[in-house]
Amino acid sequence: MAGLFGSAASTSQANTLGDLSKDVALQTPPDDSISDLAFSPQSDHLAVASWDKKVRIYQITQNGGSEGKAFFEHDAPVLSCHWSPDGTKVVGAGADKQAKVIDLGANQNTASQVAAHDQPIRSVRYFELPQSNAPMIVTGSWDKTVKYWDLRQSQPVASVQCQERVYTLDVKKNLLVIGTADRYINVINLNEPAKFYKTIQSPLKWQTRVVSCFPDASGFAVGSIEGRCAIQYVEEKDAASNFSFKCHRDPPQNNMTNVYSVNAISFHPQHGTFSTAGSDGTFHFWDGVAKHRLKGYPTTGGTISATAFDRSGQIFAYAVSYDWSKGYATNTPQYPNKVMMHPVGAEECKPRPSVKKR
Amino acid sequence: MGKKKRGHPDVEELLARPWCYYCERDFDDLKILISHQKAKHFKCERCGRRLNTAGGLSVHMNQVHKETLASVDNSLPNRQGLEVEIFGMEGIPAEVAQAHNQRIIAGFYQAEAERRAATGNPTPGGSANPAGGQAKKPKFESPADLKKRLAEHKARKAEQAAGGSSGGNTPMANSPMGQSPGAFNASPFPPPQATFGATQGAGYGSFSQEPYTQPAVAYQQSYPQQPPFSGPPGAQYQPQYSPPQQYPASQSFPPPGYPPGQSFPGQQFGAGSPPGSFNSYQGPPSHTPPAHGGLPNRPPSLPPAPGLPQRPSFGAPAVPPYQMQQLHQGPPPHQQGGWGGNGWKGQDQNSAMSSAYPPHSQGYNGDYSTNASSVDDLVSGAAREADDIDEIIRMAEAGIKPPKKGEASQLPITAPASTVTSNAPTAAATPTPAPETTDTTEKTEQGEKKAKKEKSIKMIYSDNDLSPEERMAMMPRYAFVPEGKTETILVDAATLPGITGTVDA
Repeated sequence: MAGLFGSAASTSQANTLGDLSKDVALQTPPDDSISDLAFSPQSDHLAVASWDKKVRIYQITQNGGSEGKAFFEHDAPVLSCHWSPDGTKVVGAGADKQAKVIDLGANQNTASQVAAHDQPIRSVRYFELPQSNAPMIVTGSWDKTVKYWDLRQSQPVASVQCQERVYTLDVKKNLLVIGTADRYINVINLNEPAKFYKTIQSPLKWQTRVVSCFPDASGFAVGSIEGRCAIQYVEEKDAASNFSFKCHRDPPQNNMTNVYSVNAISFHPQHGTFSTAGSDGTFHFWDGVAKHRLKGYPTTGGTISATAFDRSGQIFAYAVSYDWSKGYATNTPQYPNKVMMHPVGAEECKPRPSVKKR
Repeated sequence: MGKKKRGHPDVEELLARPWCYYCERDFDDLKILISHQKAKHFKCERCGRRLNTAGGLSVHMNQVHKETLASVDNSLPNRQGLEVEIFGMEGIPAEVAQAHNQRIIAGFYQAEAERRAATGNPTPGGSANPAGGQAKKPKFESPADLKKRLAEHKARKAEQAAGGSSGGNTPMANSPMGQSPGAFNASPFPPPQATFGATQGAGYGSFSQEPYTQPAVAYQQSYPQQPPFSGPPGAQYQPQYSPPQQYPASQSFPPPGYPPGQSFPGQQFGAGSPPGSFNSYQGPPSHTPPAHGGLPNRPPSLPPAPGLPQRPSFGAPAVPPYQMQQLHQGPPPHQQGGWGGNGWKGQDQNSAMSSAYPPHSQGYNGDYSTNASSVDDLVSGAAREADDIDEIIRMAEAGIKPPKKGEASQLPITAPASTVTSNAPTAAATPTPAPETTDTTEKTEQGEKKAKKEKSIKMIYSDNDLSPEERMAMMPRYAFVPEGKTETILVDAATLPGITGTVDA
């Protein structure tokens, strides 16, 4: 996997390939491909959404051990999951066009529906507006709409019409970024949720696969199917710092380079550095400010479909399961389907000042 | 002239390449050389600032860091001084430049000879018998061989010039001789030359290792069998110079002649051994030991000079000097055509030498006094001889090999370096702080596909219209069938075309 950002060869110190040997597999993982991972912001729990229609919740120990705690079911594959900011509820949304919430604090065993769309819901996020203390949910669906729900009513609080099917969205503080088909990217200020603050065309020329917001909500990262990521800042004044880089590509062989899609981007909660994971089965840590790669890891044995950092940034979880990027032929029973906990080393994900060249 | 070989640069091209004075690396382009110098030699260790010259760096260190700069970083031991002000190719002292050029030439011809030997092709002269070719050598050297010898001779001279600079160079071709012996390796007297070289080495302490070593190498190789020089002066002459017509010998002289002046301080007239060495230089004009025949490495060396008396000749009266003179002056005109690129410095040197000659014409004996100042050097040089010679030879051999290899290996380095530097970031502000050299696709960052002009990208998932999840959701196993209705997520292509596609620019 070649990284444009400063490959292992060129960045300094310890640029050897990272170590995967200490990664711990999740106990009793889902039976089918994993679509999303989410760590609780308050406790050491991990929610795993899967194509086997279930959302499972595990408790994760500091050394990566896991124990299944709860789960809830949907009627169709679950495409996304997220925790409420207070860590008591988990929302899942999927192909059954519904979003369901389970309240773990109240020891519920079943989830109740809180949202509905006309088409499968691709992405769901909890968010909380500073004024109100009630969390709300935003859902993006293939029916080209984004809707906001408070959990008490069955009608959306607000709805936004997007240009195309919503493929991905992410929320941080007041920033909501939506990536749709045809490479639209909409930025919404959650204080004015009903309108787009800004709409841009993705800087990447291919289909947007994932968007993820910086922890400080000053910008976001975009990943595409063409092995490329872009770092974009929301404000125009920062636009000079926008850049994009290539990643998740095989070294060229016989004049052919395999280009894999970037499936997931996750930001480290403290450092502001981020990870990208792709269909080539590798993940990398990058420093977006210094514009170089921090660490690369060898292939994990299968395509990585989702990643997440835990709330302390010490555990990096990644899901290895088939994302069907290579068609049905590659989906064999032996294809791995697991979630791995990778202990984040002290220096692995820490920003490193780049060596300035004059 | 159809000498150009595919894949092998010409001597002229090699000579034209800009090279770095401090580390003897050569580059495709002057710009690349300058940025190399800025990054390697003129860069401040403390703050990373890059200056333009060594002097500038020294001033910077003084003013900003209050430190003094002692030597240039990453430079060869003999090139570390701060006195020479080098920028790109400017400021390189003439002798150093000459020595460098001669090295290139010598190396080029040697490589050519090796290639020829390796392939077994007939020599350019048309002889189909490589072994026979050697036998032929003594009599007549093909132009290529002549050139090679010349090159070697020049190299030696340049070394002397570069290294030596001490006065007292006996005009007599001492210096040139010194060089030539090396060049002439082929001559039958390998050992003498070797020793000579050794002595030279000893004598030339002032030589920078490199210039010296090269010629030394030259000779080592060619003279596998030459009898040790230091011994009998007589035997020695000839091998070294054996110019077929004595031209080659003379030619090499002129150039070396000059520098030798400086470099050869005493050597030449020393007592026992010096004479030997002396012989070696002087040899060229006329010494070709009769014994030559059957030298193994002919191509590089000049055939033994015809009927030269032995060197020792201090006794050899006027003959050597005259002959030498003639040799020097005569051949040069001839050879010039052959040389082309090397700037015929020989001419100038020739004249100098010739002027030197007259005093010697009376015979060496009488003239030692003129080089009285160098006698001491000679003596000391001589003292080193015998035992040291072997050591010096070894050193020379060892010394020579590395620089040669180093130079060769540096050439390829410039290639990747230039590809890296040519990786200009695209308009999309693509950061390339450390462009990945392995990823050639980086070069064309503009826009995804364009990147692959020569190389094609194969996107594992290239469907721009459907996301992977949509595809998955469309599959029957995942299809959501609420209330018995078949769910197709998207009103889209009913068939599932292959996801992977090859994208060509």
